[in-house]
Amino acid sequence: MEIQSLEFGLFSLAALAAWHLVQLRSWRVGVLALSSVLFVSTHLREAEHASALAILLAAVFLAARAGQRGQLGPRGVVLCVGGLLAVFAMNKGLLLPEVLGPVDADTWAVVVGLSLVLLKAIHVVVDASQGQLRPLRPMTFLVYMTAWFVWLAGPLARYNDFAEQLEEGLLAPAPRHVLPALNRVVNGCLKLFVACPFLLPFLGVERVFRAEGTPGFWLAFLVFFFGYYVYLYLNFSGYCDVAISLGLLFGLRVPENFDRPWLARNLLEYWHRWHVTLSEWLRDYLFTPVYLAVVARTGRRSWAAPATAAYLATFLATGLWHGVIWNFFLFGMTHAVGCLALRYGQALAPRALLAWQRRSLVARWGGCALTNAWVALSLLFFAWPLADLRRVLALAVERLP
Amino acid sequence: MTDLREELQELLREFFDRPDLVVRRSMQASDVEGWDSLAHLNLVAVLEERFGIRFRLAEIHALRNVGDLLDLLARRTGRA
Repeated sequence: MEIQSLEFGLFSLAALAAWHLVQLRSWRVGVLALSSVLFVSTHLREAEHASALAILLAAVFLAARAGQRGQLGPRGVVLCVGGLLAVFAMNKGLLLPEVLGPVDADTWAVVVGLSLVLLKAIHVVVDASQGQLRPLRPMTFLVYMTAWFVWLAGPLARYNDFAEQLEEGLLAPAPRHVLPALNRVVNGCLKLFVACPFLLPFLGVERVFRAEGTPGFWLAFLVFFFGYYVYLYLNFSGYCDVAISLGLLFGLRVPENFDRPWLARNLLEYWHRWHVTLSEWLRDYLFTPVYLAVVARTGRRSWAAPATAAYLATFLATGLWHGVIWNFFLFGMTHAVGCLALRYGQALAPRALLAWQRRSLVARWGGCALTNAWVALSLLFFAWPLADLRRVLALAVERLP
Repeated sequence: MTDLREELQELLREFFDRPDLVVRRSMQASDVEGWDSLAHLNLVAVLEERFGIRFRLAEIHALRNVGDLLDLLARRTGRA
């Protein structure tokens, strides 16, 4: 069931009606669990998909429970995280391809290996083993892992925040919050179903090729260059608008995922504004462990070696998480190089220059423009074959004065 | 806690090269020049070594101010 389908709208209304009809918190949790299982089941094509998902959820729950009791140990955590990454590798066709066959919609690993499920699973197992997780309850865990309105693309909530609301809150939203939530659903739908389809025909490389040698070349190029960035923002933030608002109507605060990313003055700030919940996950479970591991080897005061290792590891993983092809590698490298250049620049620049940069409006808006251009460039690697991209960029370079 | 506070103050003075730094519970990273996200991680490593503890991942970025850090250190080292 896709968000743009009539079925999704009807399903949302039915689930909301059932949730508001029952008053007891435990029944409301039941409605959320049942609706989530029903929703997820529409994405499971075969019985073996359901079995695989059930086994994965049960294994993660038992591992986290063992972690909370101090029975998992560091090796157990490494084994669990390794197992989850192996599932992800199967999802991408990198592990046991001869057993799984071609990875398509009929492969169980496609469902089980949904990145959000695995990211949540790693968070739960690691935090449980470090004594940072609320006591695990099966129903809360099930709803957290499968909540239908965030199933496909997040935002990526943390277990403690989600569980606290399920176990202690879940009150019907106050009337003054209902209208803004409905308004945001409409805004999300406008982004998804009006703005995105309108933008789509303008994005292709063909428009730039057709404009070659005409006065409209630069306009076509700029629309191409920034178009996919705008499209992706509208699409993803529109989906998050719908997910966050639906959560609110079910009495749940779902974390925000976007904070006007176009206002970011540099790439580091950008990652505090774009896909915030994933950025924080990467910071906590990849960047920080890599950084601290390198600090332990290289010394307590140096930041250069640990930062280089941590940025490269984080952004390469971010890129390759989407697929093991050159496009995603280049996407990751663009961000890693950008962040590292910024860090080294900040470290080497005179203090007076940095102070000017903080005060100056020119530096502020120049930084915004440069950041948006850098991000737009990185996202082109996502959208287009490298050969087409090379040709378009070469055309633009040729026409530079 | 006073001892711990003084010990932390000395450590922060040395770490940020600010001999005049006076620690307040409400003090935030943004109040100290050079206390950015990378310096924070280096500081975590220094604190782990000095106090012989290991921070948990969830604790490292949950600290909002020096007061939170003092409370965490007190809890983890058993020093009130």
